[in-house]
Amino acid sequence: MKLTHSKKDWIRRIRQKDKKVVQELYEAHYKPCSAIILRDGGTVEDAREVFQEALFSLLVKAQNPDFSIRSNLKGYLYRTCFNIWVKMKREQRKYESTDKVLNDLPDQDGIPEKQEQEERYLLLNDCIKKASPACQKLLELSYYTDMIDEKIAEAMNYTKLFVRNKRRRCMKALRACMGVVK
Amino acid sequence: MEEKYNYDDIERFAKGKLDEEELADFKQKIQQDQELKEEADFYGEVVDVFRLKGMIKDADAELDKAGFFNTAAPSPTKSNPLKPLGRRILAYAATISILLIATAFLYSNLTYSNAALASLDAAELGLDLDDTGMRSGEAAADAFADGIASLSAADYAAASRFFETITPENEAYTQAQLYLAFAHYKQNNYADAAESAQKATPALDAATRQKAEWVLLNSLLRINRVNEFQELLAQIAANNDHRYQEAAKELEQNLNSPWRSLVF
Repeated sequence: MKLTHSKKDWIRRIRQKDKKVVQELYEAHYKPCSAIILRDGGTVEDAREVFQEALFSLLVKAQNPDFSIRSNLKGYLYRTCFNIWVKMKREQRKYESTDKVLNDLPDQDGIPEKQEQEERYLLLNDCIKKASPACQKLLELSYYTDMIDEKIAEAMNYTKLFVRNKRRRCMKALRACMGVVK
Repeated sequence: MEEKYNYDDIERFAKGKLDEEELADFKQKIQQDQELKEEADFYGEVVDVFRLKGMIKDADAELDKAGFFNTAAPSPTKSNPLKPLGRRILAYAATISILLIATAFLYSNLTYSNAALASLDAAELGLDLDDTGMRSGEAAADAFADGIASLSAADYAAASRFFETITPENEAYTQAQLYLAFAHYKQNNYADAAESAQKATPALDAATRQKAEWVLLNSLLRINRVNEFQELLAQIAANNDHRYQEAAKELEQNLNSPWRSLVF
């Protein structure tokens, strides 16, 4: 299924946090990306995780006001999926890296190199993944779901005051992880 | 311990929930306080990251509910898209094609090769192979008769030996060369056949001369002496009095046939 909007529209919708566009990206690009993982002995869960990471990388890039995509979104996602999968396998110590597939893909996908903000977003994402499950859930409820503290307290079995303080501590931990300690 | 900043305001700023007046006020503060700006920026980034992650997580969950990940998984090996019947039809078509091509090659080589086009027989040449069995005692005449007898018995090697003994001084020499050319031809010695046929072409009688030319022509075709062959062929085909004019024209036609392209 092809993206129903032009590239400019797509970028605009990403910046506006339009959820539908993410679904469209899945429908257009998940299958070739997942093929890399599934044919290499990965599971469907692995493929979903890898694709989520690859999408995240793309969405982060799109936040940059100077971002424009000239061509080959498919190539970018494909290559990103491969890199993420290789990294995952290396971390699991099951895999010798082969770059031969990377070598078959064009070096230039028409997508600019990483900007400073993008680097920070990716680092922040890594730090979030390293945070405790409680912090991850609390921050998600606070900043994505946008629940009020009373509801968060109810959902996590905390007091409202505890939610505020816990959130503050989680954010400090993230700051420390980012290398900026105050 | 009291916090340095009002983190409620920072969070509301990061989420875009400050009203106009509050926003203007907050912006002024961050302009004057670098540390506050850094905190606000950091919270803004965290909110942004969670929103992006959340969008992906929601889309993933929606698609999972719709069974997208079950259908999207590629099969480990590519299966042949052709159904068994289609494969069978393809196999039959391929076999028939191969047979047709092979037949075409066979036909063209049996009918249009140089060997096929340049075949000679005694009857075609009008060679008199009737051996009376009588010998005159005169060496050349007897040799000629023995040569004829050998040709009649299809002993072409023996025939060659007999005809080679007849020297140019003998009046039967050119005729002997014609028969010798024929004997060489039948032994597939086309170069020798051409040489002997050439020696027979000065014959005084038209019949011997024309037969020798025909043997020469066919020999030249067999040994691929193209220029000489084409010159002689054109000559014979243009000569209305030549006994082999029709045969020459037919040979010309066959040489120009598209079937020749399949000859190897």
